[in-house]
Amino acid sequence: MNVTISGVRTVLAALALTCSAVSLSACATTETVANAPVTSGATQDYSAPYDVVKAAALESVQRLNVDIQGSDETDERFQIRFSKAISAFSWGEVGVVNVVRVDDHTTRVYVHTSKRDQMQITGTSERQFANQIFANITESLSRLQQ
Amino acid sequence: MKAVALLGGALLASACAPLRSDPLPEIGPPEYAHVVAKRDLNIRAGETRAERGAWALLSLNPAIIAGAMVGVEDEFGRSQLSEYDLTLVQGGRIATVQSRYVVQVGQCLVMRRPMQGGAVVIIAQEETRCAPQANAGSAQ
Repeated sequence: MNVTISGVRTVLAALALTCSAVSLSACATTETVANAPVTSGATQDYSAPYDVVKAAALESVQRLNVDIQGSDETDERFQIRFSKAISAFSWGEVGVVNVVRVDDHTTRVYVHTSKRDQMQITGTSERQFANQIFANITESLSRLQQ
Repeated sequence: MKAVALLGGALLASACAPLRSDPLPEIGPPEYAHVVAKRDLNIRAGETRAERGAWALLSLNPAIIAGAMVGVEDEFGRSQLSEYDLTLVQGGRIATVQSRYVVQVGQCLVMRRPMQGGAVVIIAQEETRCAPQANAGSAQ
């Protein structure tokens, strides 16, 4: 078997390039979650008008240690886009909160997040984000509806 | 050696950022108003490219470092929100507020200002709520 040093180097270089390409292709961006179907992620219904839940959802996200990147509204939903910063144990996360009118007295909220590096096992999960956001919305609503 | 390990541990612990939530801020009484003007703002906020680059360096992965530095996602350093000029129903004064709540020019809304810093709370209302007689008993 005749294995040259340059041959090993070539194989290693190809492997490094492949790993780099894979690690980059596994990155999630804000657009990844913003353009996902509105019904993606964890959901919870609230017995409150749409306009009030919009305000409660916004207040809920503003209380978290995340960066809000923006919001917009279509006929289908009100959407808040946010990201959680990079840290020693995580490449950060991206997420959206979608507020959807069910009827005049019921509003549904969807929380959809993704880790920026989808191959990492640390960081905040979608369930953790959803639990905190849903709890905050409940708290805001009870105050706003007094 | 122990000191270095302790220092490293402390640095890592401080860099670990679990999800946390601030307490619900206190807000003032409701003030009804009409939106008279709306401007879209795009401000610098969030993480900078340098911060992303510093963390990326730790990965020792040239592709990740390049991606972080050239700003594959420069949106992480920007934030969009709206600035609204409002005419308060009580007194007819003008107020300018910034919010990510979406309302249209001419729309009636109720505003709750924060007592100690933070964001103003805005909620769209039916037009009847901005009628002067509807607010006669809620002067601020």
